Amino acid sequence: MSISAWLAALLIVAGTGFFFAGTMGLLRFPDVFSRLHALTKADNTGLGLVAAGVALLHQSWRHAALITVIWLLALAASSIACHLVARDALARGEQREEKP
Amino acid sequence: MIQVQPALGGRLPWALAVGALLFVLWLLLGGGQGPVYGLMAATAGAGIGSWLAPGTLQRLRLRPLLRFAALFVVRSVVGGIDISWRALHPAMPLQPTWIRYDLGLQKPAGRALFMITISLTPGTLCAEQQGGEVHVHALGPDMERGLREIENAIAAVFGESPRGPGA
Amino acid sequence: MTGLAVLAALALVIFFGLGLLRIHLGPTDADRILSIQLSGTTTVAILLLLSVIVDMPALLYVALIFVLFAAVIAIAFVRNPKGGA
Repeated sequence: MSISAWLAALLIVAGTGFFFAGTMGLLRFPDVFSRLHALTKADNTGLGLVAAGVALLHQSWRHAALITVIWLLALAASSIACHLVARDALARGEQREEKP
Repeated sequence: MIQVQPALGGRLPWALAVGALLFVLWLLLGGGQGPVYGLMAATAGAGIGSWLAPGTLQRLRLRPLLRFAALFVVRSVVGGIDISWRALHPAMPLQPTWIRYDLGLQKPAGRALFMITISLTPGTLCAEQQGGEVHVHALGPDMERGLREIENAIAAVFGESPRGPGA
Repeated sequence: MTGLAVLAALALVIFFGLGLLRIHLGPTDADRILSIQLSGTTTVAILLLLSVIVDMPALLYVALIFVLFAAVIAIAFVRNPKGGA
């Protein structure tokens, strides 16, 4: 295997590891905000690494650019989704405190 | 809508920028096929976009932008490692706290970028923003320093002056 | 190399399935929507790997569509007045 193939393999394996951690965080963490942390950070790091590995394997500048667009959109979408869900949970949580 | 003068001033550059972006996207998705149709579609998109939702172009500084991008990549990988360590550690070291962070950034684009960024960097998550105050959920103590670092990097990109340690 | 990509994709499917347990566990609807978010990101990663495994770059476009959908899900959830615990 060439150096880029080894590098791609390394990136994909590392990325898969982050996905595992994300799932574990989602299942183990005690409250919804901590779970949000696990999802947004671990999964997007995982996706970034897998995307970098796949871009190396495609050996095409256009595909690499396309994968970069996918990655950036995924980052923005996931971060905004995380913010919206957190804000929603916060608003509902405060409502619950007001009415014991 | 009522502010005709500044909107007119900014509308043409905005349309050109949107059109150029759409055309590049067309070339990227289509593999360079049908550039004439792409040009037509990009022109139509730019026209409709600047008619319905005109924005203002921000003057971005290239060198701080690259520095911010590098900071972002490094911090988001660190964020992934940090949360993975917390998730896989048998004792799950979590000390969830809430931070009220006083945001010095003035431009809406900068504020939006800040909110997107901090949810991806170690231990912090943006839950609510009201004016200059951001409600941040943190997984441990002493997270303000990382927030301040990102704020200063974004301030440099938009040409705003960085703020010292304030309230 | 393809073998490794297949293994990685299979592993992602398993993590995806485990993550879906959170839908059952809840307890709030926000927790359930997190599980959906996880499946969205994982699906994108699986599609990227599949584009290498079956050598079909068109799957990158499918991944792009999935990313765009993922953003809509959370907005739809927050906008739904009946959502939440």
